Amino acid sequence: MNANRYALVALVVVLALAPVLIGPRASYFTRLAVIAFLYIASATAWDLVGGLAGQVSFGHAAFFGVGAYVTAILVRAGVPLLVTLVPAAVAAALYALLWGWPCLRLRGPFFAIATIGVGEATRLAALLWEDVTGGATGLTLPIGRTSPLVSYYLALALAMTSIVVAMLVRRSRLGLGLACVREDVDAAESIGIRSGRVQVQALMISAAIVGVAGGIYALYLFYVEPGDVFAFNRSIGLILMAIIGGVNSLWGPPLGAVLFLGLEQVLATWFPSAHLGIYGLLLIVTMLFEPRGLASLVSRRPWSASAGS
Amino acid sequence: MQLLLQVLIYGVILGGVYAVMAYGLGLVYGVMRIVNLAHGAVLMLAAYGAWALHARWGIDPLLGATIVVPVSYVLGRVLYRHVVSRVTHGPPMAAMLLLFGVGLCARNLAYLVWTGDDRSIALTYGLSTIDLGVPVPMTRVIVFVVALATTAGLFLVFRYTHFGRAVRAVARDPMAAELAGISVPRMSARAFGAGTALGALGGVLLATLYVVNPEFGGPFLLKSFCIIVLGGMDSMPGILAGALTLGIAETAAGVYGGAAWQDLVSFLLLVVILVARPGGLPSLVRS
Repeated sequence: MNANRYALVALVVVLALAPVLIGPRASYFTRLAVIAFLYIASATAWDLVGGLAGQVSFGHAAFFGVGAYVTAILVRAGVPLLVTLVPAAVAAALYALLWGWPCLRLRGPFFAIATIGVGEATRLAALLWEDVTGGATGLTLPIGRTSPLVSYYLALALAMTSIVVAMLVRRSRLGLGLACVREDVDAAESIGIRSGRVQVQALMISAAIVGVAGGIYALYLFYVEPGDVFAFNRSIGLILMAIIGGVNSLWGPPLGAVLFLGLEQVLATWFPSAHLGIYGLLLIVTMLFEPRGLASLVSRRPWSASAGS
Repeated sequence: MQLLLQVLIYGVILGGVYAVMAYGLGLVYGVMRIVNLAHGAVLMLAAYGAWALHARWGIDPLLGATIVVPVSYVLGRVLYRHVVSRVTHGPPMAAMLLLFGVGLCARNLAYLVWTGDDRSIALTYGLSTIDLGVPVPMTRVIVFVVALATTAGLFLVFRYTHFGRAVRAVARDPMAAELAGISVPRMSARAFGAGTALGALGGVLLATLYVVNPEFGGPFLLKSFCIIVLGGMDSMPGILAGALTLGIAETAAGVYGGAAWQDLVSFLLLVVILVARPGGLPSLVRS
């Protein structure tokens, strides 16, 4: 475990120094890395709800969009850049409270479909509310106030934060409560866990992280538009990352996020018209052969008798 | 007053079509407790099927349905037998996510085969209207009649045929059904096929009213789900009532609020009913 920890610290140090070391050619690398870090942060956050709490959300793009818009609007109003990420987190968490409180009383497919509804309703509402969101044309941020390097370090910090938060939540009373509720609601309630409450807390933590990811995305792109930040495909992307990597695990979602980004780049270059089908096939294949994702392949050591099953 | 009448008539017609579209989702949920997230893709592919038959050979969509629907039944049954049934005993969400993957593949297929352009079926009798207090296009009337016939047919099938009774038995209690000599896997596969076929019929009917594109299915999947939730998940009269409610609510929102509201209605209704009345409309009557 200790060796792992040192390896991780080393990885973070290398990533922190990478743009400096690579130097002027770093722009493609930093651009890709920003997205990778945001994916890692969001997928890890999604898994707190989708994996640990066992409530598959098809609506996380809503948090991403809320965060992106809060940041964009505040930056346009002249608020300092870094400060805007705090309200982005708070707004996303409050939005999670707003619909999580009613919807998390639902379980399994009911919750999942309710989140599709919430996600789509949010996107439509953003499109309609033109005074604030700029409608389909979106909002442009004043260009040149952030360098790609700032986004890079912000995104790196968020990815690290997200993983640390996931680690802490999993070890905490909250995490144990969530696992209990996932396995058996009635049993969990009977030992005094308030199922609705712990799940709303998990959703709010998850939403805050995804909201900040949205905010950093807005700073990085200088442009937000409902069709992009609230896109249903964003929510699907998060589900795919977590599922390919391995739901309900600490390292599955980050692994899945990196693989998904790689896949996305490959598909965008060589098979632009087949990406949906490939994602679909991946989902089908994962569900048929390894529903617990790649992380379970890694952790399943051939010499360990208790592994497998 | 005229406007109100219009809302009611158009709403009921729309509701009838919605009912056909939602029966399939309700049937699959009722029997297997799986929410078929590929249902939207079924609607979309069937709508394209009807469009292609009409565009290439001039086959009327309703005649085309006699080809599209049986084909869908077979495809649905095969899909269940060879793919979906492998994960029904796995983690609870596995089947749902797998079917979502199937839906993504189908959407991609549609983009590749038919591109993202809007397609519409122009019927020769589409322009003539019938006066029912307000003028109603002929297509809508015909489509509504088909929807009513389907509803009546389903009622008879569930009530009087072996298949219908067996499916209801499996829905009620799979183990008891098995003990009574019903093959649950076989009935599940047939029910999945029937659900797909009903979805296909719904898709064909919708294709006569709306333009078709690869994203056609998404909103209708949500609407179907909204309807079966309104209808208390597995009762046919419930689904019909839910469909009529949504049809009227949507039409009213479109007339009084504007087209954008029309899309929001089903989402709002869905969330409100899930939260306030998880039992759906039937629970209002019972309690």
